[in-house]
Amino acid sequence: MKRITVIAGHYGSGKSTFAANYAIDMSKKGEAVTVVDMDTVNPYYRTADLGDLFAENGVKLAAPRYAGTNLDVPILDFDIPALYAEGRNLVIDLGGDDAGAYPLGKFREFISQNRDEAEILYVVNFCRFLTQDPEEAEEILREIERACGLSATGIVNNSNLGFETDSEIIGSGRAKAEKISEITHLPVFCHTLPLIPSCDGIDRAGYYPLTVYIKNVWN
Amino acid sequence: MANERMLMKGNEALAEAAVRAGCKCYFGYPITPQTEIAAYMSKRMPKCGGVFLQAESEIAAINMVYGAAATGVRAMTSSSSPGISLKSEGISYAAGCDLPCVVVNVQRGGPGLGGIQPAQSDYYLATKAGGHGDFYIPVYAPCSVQEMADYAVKAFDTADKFRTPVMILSDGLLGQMMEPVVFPEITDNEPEKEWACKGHGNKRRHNIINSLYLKPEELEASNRERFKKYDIEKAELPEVETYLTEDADIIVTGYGASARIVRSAVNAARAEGIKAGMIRPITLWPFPEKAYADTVETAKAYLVVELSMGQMVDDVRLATSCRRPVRFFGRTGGVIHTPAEILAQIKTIAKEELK
Repeated sequence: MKRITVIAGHYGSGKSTFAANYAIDMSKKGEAVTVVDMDTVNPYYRTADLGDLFAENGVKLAAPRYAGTNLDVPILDFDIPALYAEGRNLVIDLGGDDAGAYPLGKFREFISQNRDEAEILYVVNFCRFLTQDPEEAEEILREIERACGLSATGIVNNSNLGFETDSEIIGSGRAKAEKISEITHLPVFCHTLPLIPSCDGIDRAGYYPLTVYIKNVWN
Repeated sequence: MANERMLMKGNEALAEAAVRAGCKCYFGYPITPQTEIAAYMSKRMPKCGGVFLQAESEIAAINMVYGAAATGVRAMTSSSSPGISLKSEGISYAAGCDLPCVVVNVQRGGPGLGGIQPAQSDYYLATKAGGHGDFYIPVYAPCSVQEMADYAVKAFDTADKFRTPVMILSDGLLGQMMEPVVFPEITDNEPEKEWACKGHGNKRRHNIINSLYLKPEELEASNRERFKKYDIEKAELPEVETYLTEDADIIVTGYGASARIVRSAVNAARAEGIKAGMIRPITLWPFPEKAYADTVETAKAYLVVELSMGQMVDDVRLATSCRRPVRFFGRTGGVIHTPAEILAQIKTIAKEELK
């Protein structure tokens, strides 16, 4: 486990869900963790929305002070080196695509200086429209890397079809993840498995189990 | 590949389906919660020989749609509530020129700048007051990511068939949520457009696209002609989903995102022994009056559920000829009703109206 974990990826790939799970799991293992909401692109479904959940689990949240208010403008009013100096592990959740990765460029030098302590993870869901095959997914990965000026260090395979995810989806996602790992020479950090009824029968060995925090308002 | 299920946001699915339906020109301007449509088009259009243009304003965008549609190509714009207000002049012009085009409204809370959370307070704007003058436009109200895709395709076909602007009335919930989607097979329903201004090559008289008639009799004749078309649209276009209505004492009715919540509430009411059913209009104009007329003999009361202060409720009262009590329950400003709140309303009606 590194001191800094950056979570990047395509829109809707599950960055925030993975970031929340990862931070909470870390906290449960006794680590001090701060989640940094660095999404300056889309005000919907941002990590800051999970503030209560983080508080319950002893995770600190750093988000733009006015997130979710009338002043929810794309600003970063926190400083990554200062948060790092607090001594807590950082899980930095970026916005989608290259557009969401630009703000990280502000801290490129700092992260480069602490390279050994930093993990930059690319979250990919091969069921998403623009990342259906490893080649397409690599294209978005490279755009993200160019935008923030940093190279990814691992792949998080988060392939799912929402509440209709089943063993077939999980299996085909896994195969594509291995392919992108081969093309990019990046290790697969983990394959996720959503903890939902349609995935109940799947053996969890070799998977990172994910609690799905986003709820359907109509149920 | 064609029938593969993918996980998409409603906005993305709508945009992709529009491209597949042959949309060649997209003109837009960013506004939450529809920005994904513009963002998606900006990436997709250049790859398929289409045009993406971010206009300087919503008004410019709808007038670019007007121009593109006049040349006979499939054109679309999208916005969210305040932006649709701005577009209403252009929509009226397009209607007055009988130009086929698609306008998408991913509704947010209002009035004014309102909020960015889901709302359904543009029902009147869509169905009764899409702009100045005597006109209507067909309005489709999808209720899932799949329907965002299906009705994007249908909207273009309807627009061409009746030479009219068509609106897709979505909301922030449908636009932003992710669900599996399969894209519909595209059948070539794009007719030859002999009326379009696409170059006469000195082989025919030039076509004129115009909505200005300074002679009163000519304008009246044009309006009357258009209303004959509306009679055909009223006969052919209404679409509705009914759920458990046959033996229902209480019919709950809502469209779009509200209908998803209504369905859960109806199921909960049935589980408690209350005979509830649902009517979900898919076309808001023409309003599917028959579904209400067909149930008015057997149903004892209606409950209209909207994310507004009550707009579609008027059409339900008209469609039931006020023969049964029609009650209303709405949340507004971006607050979304829960199935439990709707169930409580159903129970109150059961107590007060079913004796």
